[in-house]
Amino acid sequence: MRSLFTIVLAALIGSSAIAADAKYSLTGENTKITFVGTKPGGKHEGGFKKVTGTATVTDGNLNTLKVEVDIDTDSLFSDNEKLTAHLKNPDFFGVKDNPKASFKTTKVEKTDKSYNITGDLTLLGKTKPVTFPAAIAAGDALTLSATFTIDRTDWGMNYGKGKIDDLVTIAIALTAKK
Amino acid sequence: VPPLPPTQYVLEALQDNVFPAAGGSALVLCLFLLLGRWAGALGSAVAVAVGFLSANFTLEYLKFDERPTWENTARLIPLVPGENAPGWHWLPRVALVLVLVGLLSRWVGLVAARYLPERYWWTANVLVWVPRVIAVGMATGWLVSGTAAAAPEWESLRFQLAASILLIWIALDGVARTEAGAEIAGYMAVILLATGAILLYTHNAKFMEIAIIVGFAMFGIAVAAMLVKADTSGAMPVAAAFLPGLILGTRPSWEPHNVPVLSLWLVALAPLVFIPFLLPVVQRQNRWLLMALRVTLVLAPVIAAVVLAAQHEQLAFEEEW
Repeated sequence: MRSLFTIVLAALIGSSAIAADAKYSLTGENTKITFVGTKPGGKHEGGFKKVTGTATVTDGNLNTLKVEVDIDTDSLFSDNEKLTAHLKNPDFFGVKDNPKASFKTTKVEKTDKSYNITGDLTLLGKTKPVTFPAAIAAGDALTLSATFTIDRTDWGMNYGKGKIDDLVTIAIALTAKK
Repeated sequence: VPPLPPTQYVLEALQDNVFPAAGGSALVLCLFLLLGRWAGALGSAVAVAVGFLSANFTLEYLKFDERPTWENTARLIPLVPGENAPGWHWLPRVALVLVLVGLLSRWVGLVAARYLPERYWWTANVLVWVPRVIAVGMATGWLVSGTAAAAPEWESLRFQLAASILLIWIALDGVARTEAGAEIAGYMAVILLATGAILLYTHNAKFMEIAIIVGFAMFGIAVAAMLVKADTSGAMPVAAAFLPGLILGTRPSWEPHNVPVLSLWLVALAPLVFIPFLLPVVQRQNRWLLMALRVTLVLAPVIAAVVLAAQHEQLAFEEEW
C-alpha cells in the first residue's frame, strides 16, 4: 500500500513538472544577435551586446515556444569604431530616438528538418512580421540557432540605398538555462 | 583641405539633390515672375517648396505590392510625421506653417499700412510680427518631439530653436524684400551648403543631404530672382526653419563627434550678419559697398565654421568604408 502511494505521488509530481512552463531568461550573455551588412565589393559585421527577454516552452513541446526579446540598440557594435557611431546615427538605427528594438514570436511550426519561427520585429518604431527557419532544442537548456535575411528598407532604414545592400543577414545563437 | 568624395557620390548628389532642387525652384520662380516682379514673394515661397519636394520625392522605396503614400515616397524626410517621430521629421511642416503665416501676415500688414494713417504704421508691423512670433513659438514645440529631445540636457533646446528661427527670420525678411533679394537667397544657399558640410563631419549624411536640397532650392531662387531683382522673402521662412532646425535641432539624435560646438553656432547664426543692413542709414550706402560687406560678413563665419569642423573631425568616407 505504501509503495503504491509512493508511485502515485511520484507520478503526480512528475506530471505536474512536465505540465509546467519551462521559462528561460535571455540576456546578452546567452543570446547573441549579430548581423552582416553587405555592399558591392565588401561587408561589415556587427551585433547587439545587450538583450533582455524570456523564452517559454510548455510541456516540452517546441511548437509552444514563445520568445520575447528587447534589444538595447545603443549596445550596437561593429567591426569598425567609426562605422559603429554612424550606424547609431539617424542614417541607420537612430538609437537616441529608437533606444529599443524588439522581437515577439507569434507562431512556431515544425518543418521537416527544423522549425519555422514567425514573429513581430519592431525596429525604428515600426513593427513588421518576419518568418525564419531555426534549429531548436529544449531541455535543461534551450538552444536556438538561426540565420536569415531581412530587408532593412521594410522598417524604413532606407539610407544608402544603392551603395549598401537592402538585405541584411541576421544570425541568432541562443543557449539559455532554466 | 578635406578630400573630395568619390566621383560616384558626387554624380548621385547632382542627380538626386542638386538638379531637382535647384531646377525645380528656379523653374517655378521664373513662371511666377512672368506675371511681374510683384509675384516674387509668393513665387519664391512656392518655388522653395517645389524644389524641396521634388528632391525629396522618390519611387525607389516603393515595394511591388504597395500603393504610394507620403511615407514610402519620401526619400530623406517624411512629409507626415509618425507617432513619437523625432523633431526633425517635423521640419517640413514647421517650414510650411512659417511660410503660410509669413505670407498671410505680410498681406495683412500691407493692407493695414494702406488704410492706416502714417503715424499708426507701427500697428501694421505689429500685425505682421505678432502672428509670426506665435507661429514660431508653437512650431518649435514640434521640433523637440521624440525620445532623444526629451532628455534633461535638451531642456533649453526649444528656446534655442525659437530664438534662432525668429532672429534669422527678422534678419532675412527685411533684406530679402529689397533689390538684394536674389543676393540674400544666394547667401542662404552658401550658408546651407556649409551647414551640410558640417553635418557630414558629424557623420549625419541624411541631414547633410536635407541641408543640401534646401540650399540648392535657395540657389535656384537666387538665379531666377537675379534676372529681375525680385523679392525672395517668401522663401526665407524655409531657410529660417531648416538652418537652425538641422544644425541645432537634430543634435539630440547625434552620436558623439569631435566637431566643436562653436562651429555649429557660427553657421547657425550666420544670417544674423544681415541685421545691420535693416537700418535705413546702412541701406542708403553704395550698392557695391553693401554687397562687398555682405559677402565678407557671410563668408567669414561660414568658412571659420567649416575649417573648424575639418580640423577636428574626419569625413565618414575617409575611414568607414
